[in-house]
Amino acid sequence: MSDCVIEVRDLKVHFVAGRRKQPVRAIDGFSLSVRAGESHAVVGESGCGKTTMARTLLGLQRATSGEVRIHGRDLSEWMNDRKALAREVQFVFQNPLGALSRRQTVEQSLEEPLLIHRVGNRAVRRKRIRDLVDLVGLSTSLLDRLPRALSGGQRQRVAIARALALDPKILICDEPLSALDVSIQAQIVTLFLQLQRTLGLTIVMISHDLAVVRQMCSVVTVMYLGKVVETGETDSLFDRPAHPYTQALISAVPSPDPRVEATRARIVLAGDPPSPMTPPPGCRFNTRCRRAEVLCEQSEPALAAKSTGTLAACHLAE
Amino acid sequence: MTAPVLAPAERRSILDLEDLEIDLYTETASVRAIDGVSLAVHPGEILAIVGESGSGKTVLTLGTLGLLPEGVSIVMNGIARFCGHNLTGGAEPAREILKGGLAGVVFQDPMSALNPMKRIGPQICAQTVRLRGLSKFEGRRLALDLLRRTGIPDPEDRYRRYPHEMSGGMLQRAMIALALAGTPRMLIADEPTTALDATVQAQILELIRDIRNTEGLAVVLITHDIGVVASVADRVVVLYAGRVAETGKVDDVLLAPVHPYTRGLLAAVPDVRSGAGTSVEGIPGTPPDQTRLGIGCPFAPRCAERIDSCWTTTPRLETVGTDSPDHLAACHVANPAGHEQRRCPTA
Repeated sequence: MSDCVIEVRDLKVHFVAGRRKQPVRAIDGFSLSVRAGESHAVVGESGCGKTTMARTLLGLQRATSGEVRIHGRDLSEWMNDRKALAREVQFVFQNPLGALSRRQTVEQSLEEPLLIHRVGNRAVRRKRIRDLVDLVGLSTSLLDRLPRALSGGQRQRVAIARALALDPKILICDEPLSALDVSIQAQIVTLFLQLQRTLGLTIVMISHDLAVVRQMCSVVTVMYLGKVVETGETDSLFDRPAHPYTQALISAVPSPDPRVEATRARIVLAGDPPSPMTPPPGCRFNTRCRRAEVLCEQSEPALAAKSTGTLAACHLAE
Repeated sequence: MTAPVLAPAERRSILDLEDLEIDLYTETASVRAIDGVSLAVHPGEILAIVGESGSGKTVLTLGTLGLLPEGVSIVMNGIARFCGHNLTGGAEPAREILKGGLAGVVFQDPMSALNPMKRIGPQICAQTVRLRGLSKFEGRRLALDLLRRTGIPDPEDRYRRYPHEMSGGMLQRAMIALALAGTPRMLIADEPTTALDATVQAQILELIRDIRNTEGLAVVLITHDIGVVASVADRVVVLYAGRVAETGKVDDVLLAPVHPYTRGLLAAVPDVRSGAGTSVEGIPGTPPDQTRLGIGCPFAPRCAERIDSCWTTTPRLETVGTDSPDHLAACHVANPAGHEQRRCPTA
């Protein structure tokens, strides 16, 4: 597809840990297509490989095999011109303090990318900084503050402003909300939605919080043990999940409405996910799946269109 | 005083706080962390305490038992009783309670309770020997039974494992087993599922509910997650800046919130079951700095419905309506009864 700004084909990232001979298969055959202007969520539980996937997209992690294309160009080509990549793809992490220098004021933090990329003269940069601060809903009176003098929500706004300084087309966010209190989290969700509308950003959002994802994203990809188990439009995936893992994952999220909580059926998964060093044969979810059959232990299902409107990797879903 | 009666008097409460104030002192600063809180916890109920970071939820529960980080000293005023022990009179009664195993604590991070150098089983066994005066043999049997009751598969095998050999969910179960090693009347769970994945969180919440049902314990659940409250709690206390903003049965508070802070909080919570088009709204501003105490309602600077008296008098916790007498809120706008002269604005 030509309108895909990010295309990942059969990506594998394996880590060799210490003296152990078995590699950790953090990502083991992962594909993803992100269209321009969409906000695409990648969800899954700890250890499913979602952060490794984000790091690979950013060029911070070398892929073992597979292909990553951004704007149709292979990532290895981009890596020869990292400044050009930085003007296209930026990122927002969970902990804004890790992204901001504690010795730089907000203004210095925001000016740094402009200086590195030699954008305009001092006056142009000052104007840009003011626009950025305005864009993320901060007051210009905060410009000479240090990060420690800001609240958690303000810091995350500064980190977002800094990511937007070079006007990138793609924003990759790794759990950008999970360190924030709910009332602040909702402010930042609103900000992301606004930015996406006004700037036409493409957002890839790594998250474990399904409720936030449902609010923010138009497409969702669910990962389990380094592979995609299901992907589709947000509403189809949440209202009619085809894969038993997606069903369990959504069922596990409690509703803030006590009437729903009193009546809804719960699917409680037994046990823990298997180790990514020794994934089970066949479907990777078969050890915990309540519907698993012999077939599921023998052959690995491929992603296929299901009647519910999503693509799922399951032998049994129709 | 209008110390609210939260439940029928015939039920003996386990934890009783009346007009409690807690000041925290570090070397450099002092904070009024809790500012006049009254509540009671009864056997067999799950009371959730919700609030944002810094609202005082941890200080209120762990602080009263003396479980705060080193270097923080604490001064309590008011009444705090746990099973007849007076907690405001110094550190000794709290130590008695913990040493006697009357209160079990479950933390967010299991590694803060478990020794990484020792096998799981013997740690629990040692605790049963210490708290229940059992022999080592009996202690081992009880420890195995506790592992089984907290849903750990193959307890004989897990008994011999070290903490680093177990997953987060299993460790959380082991910590709950450890908290049950004495003869607790109350379990305090401080964000017990915050570090866990959704599917594991569902397992642990199920376990907490089971334990309440089978052991008849009181559970105080500290959380910031409204979904967790709706899913397991019977009653809820909403804290804001060290004060109770609203409290009552979970259904009353979550379905018919009256305090603007509670309503704002609920509007900010996304629901995985509501489709496109529903949007969350944040509460503008940030929680107040409690090192500088002012008069008036602490939520007033962020409140869209504030009236003049919100700046000048601190609202008291009062009954919201006649049909649910234990639904209380501290808000001049929500409780205009005592303030007839001021009209409720329709904002």
